[in-house]
Amino acid sequence: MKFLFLISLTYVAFVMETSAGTWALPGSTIPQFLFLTVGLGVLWFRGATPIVWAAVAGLLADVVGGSPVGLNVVLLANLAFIAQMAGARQSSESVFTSAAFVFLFVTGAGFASLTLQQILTGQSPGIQLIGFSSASRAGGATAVFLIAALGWAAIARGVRIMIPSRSVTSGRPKWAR
Amino acid sequence: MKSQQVTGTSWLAVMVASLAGFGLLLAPAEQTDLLRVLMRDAALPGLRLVDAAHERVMTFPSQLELDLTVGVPSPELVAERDLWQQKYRKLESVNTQLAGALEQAREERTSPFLADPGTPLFVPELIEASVVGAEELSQLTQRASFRRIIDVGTHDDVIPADFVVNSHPDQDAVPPPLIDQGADSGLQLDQPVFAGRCVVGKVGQVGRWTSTIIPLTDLEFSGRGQLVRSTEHGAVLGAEGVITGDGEGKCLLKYVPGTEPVAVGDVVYTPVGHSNLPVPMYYGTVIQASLNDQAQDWTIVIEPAESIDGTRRVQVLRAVLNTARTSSLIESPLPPQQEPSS
Repeated sequence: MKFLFLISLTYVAFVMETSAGTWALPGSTIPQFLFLTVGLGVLWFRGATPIVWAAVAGLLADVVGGSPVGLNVVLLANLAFIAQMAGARQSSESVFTSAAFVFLFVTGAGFASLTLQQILTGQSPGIQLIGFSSASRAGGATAVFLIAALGWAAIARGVRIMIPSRSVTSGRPKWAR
Repeated sequence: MKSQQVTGTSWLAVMVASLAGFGLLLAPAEQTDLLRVLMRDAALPGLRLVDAAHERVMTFPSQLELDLTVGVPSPELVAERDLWQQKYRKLESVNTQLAGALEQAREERTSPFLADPGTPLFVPELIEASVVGAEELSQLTQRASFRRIIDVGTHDDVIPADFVVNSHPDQDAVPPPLIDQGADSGLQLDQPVFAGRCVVGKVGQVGRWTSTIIPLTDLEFSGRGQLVRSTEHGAVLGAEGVITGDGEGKCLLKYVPGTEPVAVGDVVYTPVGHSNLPVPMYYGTVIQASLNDQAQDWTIVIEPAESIDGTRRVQVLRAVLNTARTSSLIESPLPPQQEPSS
């Protein structure tokens, strides 16, 4: 179920980033939805799944972003692996720690992606500009994530109050149950 | 904790993903471009949804304003209203025609003998014409007047590079609408011009390939019209009159006797009984009717239903020989004359 949700979320992210010219958040911010889905994959899954997912999302990001195809495949797969090794799943216990992880992951991925892209295309990377751009896009993605997660948590709590159950066994983080 | 999260498959996955990524990076540009195109195509259904949603969001404030404004209908309602008005007008036209036929039958009484309807020699035919736009007209005029000859020369001290100025600087004069049909299509002076079921003018000057239109609202326009009133018992034919333009976007129906009933809201059609049209065509609606003291006739102002301005295609009514009769003439030649017996 979670997997299907992530598939649909990734497609939505792909479409939203493709159509980014027609919309933007206040301040002309276009969140990096594809990187967000990779972050969510790392938070939600174990083993090879988040890495494969990161590679697929990286391919989509390459197609959307116009970077050399394969760059984000390598980058995101490795970043997901590093995040997994660093114990990123522990941060999924709370909405806010998850949001912090999402922000750091998306910022790091965006920064690395843009820098490598500049290097591969033979341009000198403007580190400050890239950092600011990555952080702002990651901020947008984190804001979207926080709103969705808090909304989902509120709905789930409301449902639990209306229909109480004896025990809840779920692999999802507490806030996403 | 680390062993729980990073498994052997994780290592394998990251290695495979990295290899695949490097493979893609080294792949020829044609292949990767093809991949881009395929994946972008996959986004098409979602993009259509986003586009529709975006349009909805963008038009929502204006729709909200429309909804909040009392008495201002939505575009859908306006379109529906126009459709029903069109249907109503069509039915009214048929009703008028039937009422005319009934009245004529009553006046003439029914004949005791059955008569076959004869085939008329001339039948009305509508020819479609395009209104040549003002820009096209201007270009055509420029081309036509690129080299003109004037009737002055060196005898009148004219030298090269002298300026030629317009002696009639009537800048405000709007050229009459021009259509792309002329005498070669059988157009003649005063033939009525329609846009759908509405009269928009008549043919003015006729050239070989083009003709000008005198718009319905032009001062030079004149034509016959008949009032039609809607009553509880259906459409009732009213008095006939002469329609002229007032030069200000409206029309006047003249010579309607003061003894005839006229009311605002009555509609004006081409005369039912004295026209070669199969159905009456619509002029417009009476918006003002007054009968001054000492006046013999009504002063009736009509709002035209359709305007030639902005209309790109019109139809011109012309009378042509009935092919049903001419073809039978060709098929059966005259019988040979018999030799006189000696």
